Amino acid sequence: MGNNFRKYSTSIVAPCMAAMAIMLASSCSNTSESTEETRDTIKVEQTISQAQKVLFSLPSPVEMAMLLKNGGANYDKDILNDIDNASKYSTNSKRALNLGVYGTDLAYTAMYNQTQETVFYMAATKKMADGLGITGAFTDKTAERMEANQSNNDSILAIISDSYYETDAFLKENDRASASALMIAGGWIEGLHLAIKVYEKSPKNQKLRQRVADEKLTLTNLIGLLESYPGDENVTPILAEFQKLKASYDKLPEANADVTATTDETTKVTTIGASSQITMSDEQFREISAAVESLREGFIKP
Amino acid sequence: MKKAIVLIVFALLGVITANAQCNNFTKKKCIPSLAPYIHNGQLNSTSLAVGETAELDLTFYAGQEYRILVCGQEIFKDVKFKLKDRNDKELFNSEGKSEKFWDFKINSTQQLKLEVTTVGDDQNKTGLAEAGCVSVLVGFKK
Repeated sequence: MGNNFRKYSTSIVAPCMAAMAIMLASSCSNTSESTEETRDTIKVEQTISQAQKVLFSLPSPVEMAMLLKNGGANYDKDILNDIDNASKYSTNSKRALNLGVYGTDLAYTAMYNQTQETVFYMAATKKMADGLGITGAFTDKTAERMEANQSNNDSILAIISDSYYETDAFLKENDRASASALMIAGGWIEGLHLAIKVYEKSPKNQKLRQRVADEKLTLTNLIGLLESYPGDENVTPILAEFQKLKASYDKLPEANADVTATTDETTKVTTIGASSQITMSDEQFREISAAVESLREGFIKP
Repeated sequence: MKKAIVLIVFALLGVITANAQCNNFTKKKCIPSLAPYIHNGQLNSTSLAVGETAELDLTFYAGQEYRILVCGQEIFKDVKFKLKDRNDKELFNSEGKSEKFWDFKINSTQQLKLEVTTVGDDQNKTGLAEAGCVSVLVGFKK
C-alpha cells in the first residue's frame, strides 16, 4: 500500500503560528533587519505548511515481504544486502537508505521463518537506526520480544511493523521527514529488487512479474514524496535516479477500465476489482530490471 | 537575526509537539482497532480544522485483504470518509455508518483515493476555530 496525504484547505496551526511570527517580526524597528526577518518568517511558514499539508508513505517492509510470499516467491538469502556492509555506511544519507533496505530484508527473512537470518538483519537494521540517532524503535526490549516470540511468526512480523512505525514516527516528530523519505525509498527499491531477482529464477511465476509491473502505480507516489523536499541535498540526487526509473515505467501500457465494488451478501465482504491491468513486455522488464539494479547498487555500495 | 532563530526554534517546537501528540493519539486510540489486521507501519496523520477535507492516494495490491481505519480526536463530532477510484467513482461512503473502518478485498492492483472530512462546531467557547489530529491507518491480512 502506498499513499500521499494532502489537504484542500490550509491547516489552522500553520497560519496561526505564521501570524504570531509575523507579529514578532514586525515589532522590530530596523527596516532592513525587519525585511530580513520577514523573509525568514516566510521560510518558517513554508516549512510548517510543507510539514502539515502533505504526508506521503509507501508499502511498508512487512507488506512488501508479504506480497512476495503471497506471490509464490522462494526464499533466497543470496539476494539480500550483505550484513557486513552495515558498519561501512558512514553518512546519514546512506544510513537512511539502508535502514529501508535492511528493514525490507529483515521482514523478508521473518516472513520465511529464517530465525537466524532475522537476528542478523535485525542487528543490521538497528545499526542503521542507531547511526541516525533514532531512539525507541530498535531497543533491547525489541530484541527480547523477538527472542521470546521466535516461534510465532505473526508476533515477529507485528514487532517489525511496530519498530517501523516507531522509526517513521521518530523521524517525522523530529523534523527529519526527508530521512524518512530516504528510508522509504531504500525499502521500496529493495522490495522491487527482491521481486525481480526471485522472478528471474522462476520465470514462470506470472504473479511476481505482474507485481513488478504494478509498481508503476506506487512509483508515482514515491516520486511525489521525494519531490516534497525540494533543494534537500540528500534527496535531490536520489529523486533524479527515480525519475530515470519512472521514464522506463512510463512505457508500460495501462488499460483504464471502470473499478467495480461487489459486496457478498452472506459474508458482507466487499471485493474491489477491474479488468484494467498494466502490461510489460520482456524487453520492458529487462529495461526496468537494469534500472532498479543500478539504483540499488548505488544505495548499498558503502 | 537572533529573533529569526528564535522564531524558527519556536515554529519547529510547535510542529514537533503537534506531531508527537498525533503519534501518541494514533498509538493509543487507533492502532488497536486495526486488529486482527496487521498494521502496515505507516504514520498517516495530520492536523485538521473542523470542516476541512484531506485526501490520500493509496495503492492496494491484487489478492490482498485490507482494512482502512479513520480515527479522529474527540473534538470532532464525526470524521467521514469516502473511497473513490481514479475516475472519482465512489466505492464506499461512511456516512450513516457507525464503524470507522472498512474491510475489503482487491482483485487487481488499484490506485484509489480516500477523502476524509471532519465534522463539528466551527468555533469553540473561546470563539477560536478548533483543530485536531486525524489518522488514517491501513491494515492487511497475511
